Amino acid sequence: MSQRFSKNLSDKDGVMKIGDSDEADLVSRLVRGDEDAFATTVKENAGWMLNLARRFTNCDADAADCVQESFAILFKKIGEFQGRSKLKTWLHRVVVNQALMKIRKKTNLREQSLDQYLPEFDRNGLRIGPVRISDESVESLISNKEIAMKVRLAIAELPDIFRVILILRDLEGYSTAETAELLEIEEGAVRTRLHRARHALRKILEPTLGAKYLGDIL
Amino acid sequence: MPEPKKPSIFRKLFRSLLRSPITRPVIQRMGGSMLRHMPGQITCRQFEDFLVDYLEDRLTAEQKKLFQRHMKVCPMCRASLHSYLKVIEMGQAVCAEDDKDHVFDAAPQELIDAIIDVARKNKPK
Repeated sequence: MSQRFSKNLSDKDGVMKIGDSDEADLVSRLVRGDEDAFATTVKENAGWMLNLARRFTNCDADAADCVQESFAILFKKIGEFQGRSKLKTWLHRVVVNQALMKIRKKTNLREQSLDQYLPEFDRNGLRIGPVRISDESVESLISNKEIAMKVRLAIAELPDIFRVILILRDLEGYSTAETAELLEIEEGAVRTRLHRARHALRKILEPTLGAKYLGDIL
Repeated sequence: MPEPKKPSIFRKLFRSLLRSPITRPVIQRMGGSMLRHMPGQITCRQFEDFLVDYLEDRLTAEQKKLFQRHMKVCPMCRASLHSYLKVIEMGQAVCAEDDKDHVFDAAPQELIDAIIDVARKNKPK
């Protein structure tokens, strides 16, 4: 399961002071159909679920739909929840699935290309064209709000299949095998598309990073 | 504090040749040809093909050695890998910032009310 998300969960749990026994109690109340437990669960989770769904779908209305549908699934299937994972981890997976279904309905995830962003090579297999590189640290780049916004927009700009794979693998921390399973494609296809998505992101962001040409810093 | 090492005359010459739009293609062609024919070396294209597997630690020991050797001799691929990783880190950093800002943010009240309302209506009797 998502490493980054698991890490966030422990942070969140620390703040919310929800321990295992509290969660077991909450789940048993949900199973009994306790309305207060439903309301608490919705209030505590809708915010991050909406944020996650928005990252995948790029659309507020679709993200809200995903959250609604995810809670509908939670209420319907809470009886089947066996407590092998945390409730939030389970909800995370449900939101991701709902978001993927939403995207699938809108686009064909298989028919998109990003070849124009791939690096070019000469006939000897040597890299052509300048490689740009920025020596500023990630922290200092991201502290610039304008650059942070450009990173968000660059991710949002990627075609659906590439954006989804980049989010699952690099941002949400799913493994290649988990990503392939979620998207029902081969692991090799995940790697190829991930590679292209990263290259595209780099190409889109290059001009905004104050990058220098390699020849200038050698 | 020790003074930074001054670049050698060869490095200075290499830099100026690589900067010039006239000599850069010549240098690159020579380098490419050398890499293609030299035993124990891979080209930039092969380096690129190995990249994702290298990052997922899926290369064989031999492939890994070739990959790392190319990285040592090719400043272009070294720089390319550097910016490739930096962009991933930037995405992660922005994402982590967003999560920090939004995790505890309440979703719009209308959405929360609508969800609770639906749950109430569909409550098993």
